[in-house]
Amino acid sequence: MEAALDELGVTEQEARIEVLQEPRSGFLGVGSQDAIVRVTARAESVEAEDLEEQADAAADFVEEMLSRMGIDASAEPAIHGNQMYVDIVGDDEDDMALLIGRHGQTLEAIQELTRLAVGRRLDERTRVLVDVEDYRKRREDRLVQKARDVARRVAKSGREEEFEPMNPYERKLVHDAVAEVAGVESSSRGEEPNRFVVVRRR
Amino acid sequence: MKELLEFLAREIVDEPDAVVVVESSGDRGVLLTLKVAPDDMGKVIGRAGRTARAIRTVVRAAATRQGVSVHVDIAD
Repeated sequence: MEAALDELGVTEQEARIEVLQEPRSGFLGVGSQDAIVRVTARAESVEAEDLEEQADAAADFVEEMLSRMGIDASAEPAIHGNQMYVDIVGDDEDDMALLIGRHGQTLEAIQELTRLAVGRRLDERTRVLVDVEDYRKRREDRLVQKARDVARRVAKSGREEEFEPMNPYERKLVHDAVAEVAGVESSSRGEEPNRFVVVRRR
Repeated sequence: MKELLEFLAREIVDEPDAVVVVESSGDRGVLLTLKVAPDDMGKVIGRAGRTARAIRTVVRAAATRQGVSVHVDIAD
């Protein structure tokens, strides 16, 4: 279920969860079945006030972390639509590159810890995005553009195309971008962390 | 580095007062050993070790900046 929430990019409160099949343990593994749940994103989500509180808590955590890393930078909370961001802004380019890390690994780690810390501080799940000098945003813009290009190409050629492995959030961006192009559909294949999006003609 | 690790651990566990970090030096650099309350072990390790990996990544980044090599151990 958590995987489904990740994939949809929503928190538990923002999803409708239905149990389609109860899990059964069976006898000596015979006749056992996994639980099947349907998770759908609810259109209306958390109140704007809650988002602001979460964004502030996230920025607090990030600033405290930065100061303990000895890095001189600030964390600016922002809300765009339904999404909270904390953008780390600083003058030292080497430090900013360090916070992003190879392939954005350090940034992912910071975001992971920020979500946990905010979750514990406010006792609720959060899907805050942490960015460094809009690095993630620029990368996402490129990814969405690429997804559109691929979808149009598949619509024309009818040949299935695969993306490189991505995290659930990036896959969601690709699915959404593909969904806007007529005549194609997308799905995810493979196991984490090598799960990837496939686009094919409908 | 010790202070950073203490901070990160305290922020994600249920019993921050039980967080202890012991610093020692080995031949490959600084060794930080993190101890948390038994019930918080799952919290600092996370699903498929995700949280432990994130903690190590951030601590290592900070260490790189200071030109030191740090290894984080989680004591059970």
